[in-house]
Amino acid sequence: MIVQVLQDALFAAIASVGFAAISRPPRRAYFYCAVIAAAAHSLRFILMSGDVNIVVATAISSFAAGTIAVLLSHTARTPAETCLFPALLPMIPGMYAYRSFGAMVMCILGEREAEFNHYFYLFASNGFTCVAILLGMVAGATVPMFIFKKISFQATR
Amino acid sequence: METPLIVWCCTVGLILILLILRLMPHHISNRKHRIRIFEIGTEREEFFVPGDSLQKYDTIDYNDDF
Amino acid sequence: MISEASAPSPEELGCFLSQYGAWLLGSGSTCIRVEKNINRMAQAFGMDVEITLLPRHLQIAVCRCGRDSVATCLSAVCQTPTSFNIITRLSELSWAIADGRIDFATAKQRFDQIVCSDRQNKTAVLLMVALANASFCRLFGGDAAAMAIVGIATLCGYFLKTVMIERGIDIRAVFIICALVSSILGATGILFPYGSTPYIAVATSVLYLVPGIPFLNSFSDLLHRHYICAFSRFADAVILTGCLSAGLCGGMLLMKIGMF
Repeated sequence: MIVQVLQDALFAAIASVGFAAISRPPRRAYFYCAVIAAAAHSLRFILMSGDVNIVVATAISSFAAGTIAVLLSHTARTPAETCLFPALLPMIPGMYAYRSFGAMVMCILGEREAEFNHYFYLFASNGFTCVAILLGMVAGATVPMFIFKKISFQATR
Repeated sequence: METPLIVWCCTVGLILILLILRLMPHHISNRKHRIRIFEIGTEREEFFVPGDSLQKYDTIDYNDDF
Repeated sequence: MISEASAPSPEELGCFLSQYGAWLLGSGSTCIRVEKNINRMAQAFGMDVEITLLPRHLQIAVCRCGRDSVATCLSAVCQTPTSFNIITRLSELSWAIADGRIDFATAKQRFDQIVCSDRQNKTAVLLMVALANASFCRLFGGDAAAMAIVGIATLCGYFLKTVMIERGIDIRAVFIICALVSSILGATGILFPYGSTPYIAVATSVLYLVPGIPFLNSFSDLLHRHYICAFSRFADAVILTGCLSAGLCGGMLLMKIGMF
């Protein structure tokens, strides 16, 4: 289990740094992105291994990520979201998002009622899960910014 | 089984051609009057009305990168 | 607060702040940060400011505290790639002004410097994105073969994306084509039986295109009650996700693979 958690943390950190590069963070932010992503993703992995729902697990780990990001933002001398948002990228429900679109297309192409119902179910379930994960993720990550408002908006001072 | 193989080979071929063209930057871009068979039009050309000035702008219509 | 002699006129400040806001918003900042930073700078110059944030425009009304003549400035939001570097440096600039460390003329100079000097090593980014997507494949349970295939599919897809964006091709078309190419290359493991998790490779080969930052920004704006910007950003992100799904569906159809 520990090896799996460490592996998850390592690959999440690499994924976060690579995807962060697309949105051009300052160089000093990469290290913090990796640390936050590793902590958050491995926490989510542990929670999901304990049969916690993906939405709840994502919200809790995003809250942890948000707290770490706000506390580290002073050391990193970057706004909290500069380290936080790239760190959340490995948890973005990309697969749910495109599966819901795929199901929608199949829904339109489906000829029989049973086929339509099946794909409509897939479309709705993937779409709802995707939106709920995103909402939980951002809500979880934003709450620490509200709690530590002074720290999070003064990081670049 | 035939179609996927053909599609895959074409895609790989096209990517390789693009890569080779990019790696030889002086091959095409330095030729002054090159003949273009296919060209992608700009938004300006799309909304062109006779009477508009023919001045070329360097602006890119779409450059949103997420 | 900065002394009145060195303070700019409301018109000058309004023009500067609207440009500042347009760059900050265009670089992918959340609405709350734009508001906070602009208010902070206006207060340093002893001015009151009202901001209207729209998805493609930003309007600012500036007046000296306690006086009633108002200068209004309108700027189009800059269509620039997301850059946390610009956001960070512009936030630093706002604090430098608020703390009285620099005057208005220097601030304008520094602003021009910041927006002009955001360069990136494209080859390094390309390699990093490929490595990131390969790691992502691993997170979804892919084996080494799947990781290698996803890495190469991402490398080609992202390379194509850079080339097409340089050429000024519509971003939605870029997403469709890149997803198509990446998914076809991602299906290599199915075409030439290689590795034990080829289907994970196809499914994760397009994930580098998912517009994560616009999704996060839109929900962040939603929570801060900036509904117009939130819905606009959400619509943008959904359309891009739709384009990527269209490309993926096309790729899967051509390679005769089912999505479900």
